[in-house]
This record gives sequence, structure tokens and C-alpha cells, in this order.
Amino acid sequence: MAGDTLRLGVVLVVATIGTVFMLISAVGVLRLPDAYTRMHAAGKAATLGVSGLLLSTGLFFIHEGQLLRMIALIALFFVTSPIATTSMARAAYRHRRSRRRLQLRHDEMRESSTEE
Amino acid sequence: MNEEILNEFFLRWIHLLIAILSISLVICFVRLYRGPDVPNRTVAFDTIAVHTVGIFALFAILSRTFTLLEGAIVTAVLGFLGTVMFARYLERSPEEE
Repeated sequence: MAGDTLRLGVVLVVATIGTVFMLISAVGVLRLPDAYTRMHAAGKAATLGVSGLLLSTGLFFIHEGQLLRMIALIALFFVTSPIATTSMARAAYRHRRSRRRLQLRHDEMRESSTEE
Repeated sequence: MNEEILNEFFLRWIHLLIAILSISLVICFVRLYRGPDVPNRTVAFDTIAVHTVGIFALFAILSRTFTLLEGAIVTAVLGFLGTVMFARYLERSPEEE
């Protein structure tokens, strides 16, 4: 029974860390000034937060054999989140109305862009 | 008796975490409502999809049914596909003004 209590405590700590990072990510999406910096908050802090939540769920259902599936889902998030963020950033750059609001000292995508 | 108190504390704490995650989801919806243009709304949509997976996981803990995790997997894949679809649409759309 002591091992069971320890497992529930670890579940609570990891889930709390994940929830706090999700809250930080949402506040970053609300408060940051630009679409690109908002992607910065949505891409990394949200991935860390949902990894914590899924890891705690896998630890809670470890006797039912769900830990491996949750680790596979975390790996799926770690693969798909950079792809989604990169394609969103490229789309936001090529969308002309948001490009005018950009404050950059050096524009790296201008040389590689084929449309200009 | 001690076991029961611990179980009660665990359930209350999971309820608190779900409440915090719901507040954070409402914050994402504020960005979805006020976003000045379509790229900001796409970012808000991506964050909302990730939050949905988190709420799925916590609710599976709360109701002790791990069948709900299948829904979490499907929601994760659909959120990724939706985000990539919105990005493609933005990239292909004719530029305004």
C-alpha cells in the first residue's frame, strides 16, 4: 500500500507541473505582442505541459498497461508540434498583412522565399 | 480511514487541476476571439487542441476509465491535422488588399 500512495503522489506532482506549464502557455498566447512570439509560447510550453499530463496519466494506469501508449503519444506530440509550428510560421510570413507588422533587424526568409 | 482521506485529497486535487486547465482554455478562447488576423487565430486553435488532450487525460484519471485515452489520441491527431490544414489554407490563399 505504501508503494501505491507513493505512485499517487508522483502522479499529483507531475500533473501539477504539467498544468502549470499549460497555464503559462495560455498566458503567453494571450499576452505576447506578435504572432511569431505567440507561436513560441504555443509550441514549446504547451508540449512540455501536455507531456507532464500524459505521463501522469500513464503512471496512474500503470497496472492496466497504459504507460507505453502514453509514452507513444508524447513521442507523437514531440514529432508533430515542431512541424505544425514551422508550417504556421511560414504561412504567417507569406500572409502579407501580418508581415507589415513585423519588427525584425534581419529577415532570413527573404532570401529563401521564391515568390519575390 | 487514512486511505480514504488520501483518496479524497487525490480526487479534490485532480478537480482543482481540471479547474485551472479550464481557466487556461478560456484564456485561449479569448485570443481566438480577439486575434487581429487569421495567423493569430491559427495559433490559438493549436493551443486549444493541446489543452483538449490535457483535459481528456485528467478526466480519464478522475473517472478511472482508461478507455477515454483513445479519445485523447484521436484528438491529438485531429488537432495536428487541423493546424496543418489551416496553415496550408493561409499559404495558398490569394493575398488581400
